[in-house]
Amino acid sequence: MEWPFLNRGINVWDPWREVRQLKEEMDRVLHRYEPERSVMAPEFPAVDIWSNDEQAIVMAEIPGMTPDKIDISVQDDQMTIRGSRGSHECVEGEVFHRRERGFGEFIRTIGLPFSVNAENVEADYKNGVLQVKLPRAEHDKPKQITVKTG
Amino acid sequence: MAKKEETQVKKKEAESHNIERTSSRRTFIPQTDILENETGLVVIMDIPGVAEQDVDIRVNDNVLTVVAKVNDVKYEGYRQLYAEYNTGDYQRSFRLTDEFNTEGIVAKMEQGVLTLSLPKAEKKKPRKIEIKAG
Repeated sequence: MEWPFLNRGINVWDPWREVRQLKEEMDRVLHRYEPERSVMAPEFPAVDIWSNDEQAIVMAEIPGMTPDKIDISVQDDQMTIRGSRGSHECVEGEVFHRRERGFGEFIRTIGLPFSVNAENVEADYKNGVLQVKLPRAEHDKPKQITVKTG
Repeated sequence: MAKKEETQVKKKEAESHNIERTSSRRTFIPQTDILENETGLVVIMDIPGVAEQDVDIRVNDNVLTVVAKVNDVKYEGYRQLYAEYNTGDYQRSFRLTDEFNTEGIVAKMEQGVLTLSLPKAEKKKPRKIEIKAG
């Protein structure tokens, strides 16, 4: 077959152009649903974070623990929660019908909107919900700057 | 297509599952461990955020239903930056067999974990049958 328009002018007709466009379209569609990074296990515990300019409050649902088993550490603008919950050991004559509750060790590091004053952090654990109040560090508070007139 | 009998049985279960609450609050199904021992059944449910007085346990027609209300957390003057779990009520039902003594259910609530002990009915405890020689 004759290709009289190849190698002539800018609008060269490339026989593979449509195929290549189709491939690019498909790639684009498929990549939209592909995770950017590898799939990770869901983070435990789930947290809700509330904040204003002075303080941040982190709430986490961690049922079935005692306050001494939960380990919270704070550094600058990161808070790490770790702990472990044991599972019910079956004794003689016991059998599980259904086992859905998780157990074991968990650790999670959460980024906060500002650096925190570690001395004044308050945490309490009620009804299985951990609530941590983190006040903003002095050095991280915005300072007003007055503009001098010349 | 399922046989006619099968369809009827399924419909009965669906009816009890479709019982909705009057308010349209978000309701979660709590994770539950169920274990059986010699005295009866033990049901352990994770219901964080629920106070003892807000749990409703009832047995109706051999169906054990647990409904727990959670008070919405509100912080005045704060905005919510991150919400991974949403507060909501909990509801779950289990069908019990005849063997349980529904009068003697004991419930204990500790740090968001509800433990229910359902003792087996007296007559159903295994009776040892002696084999007489002869």
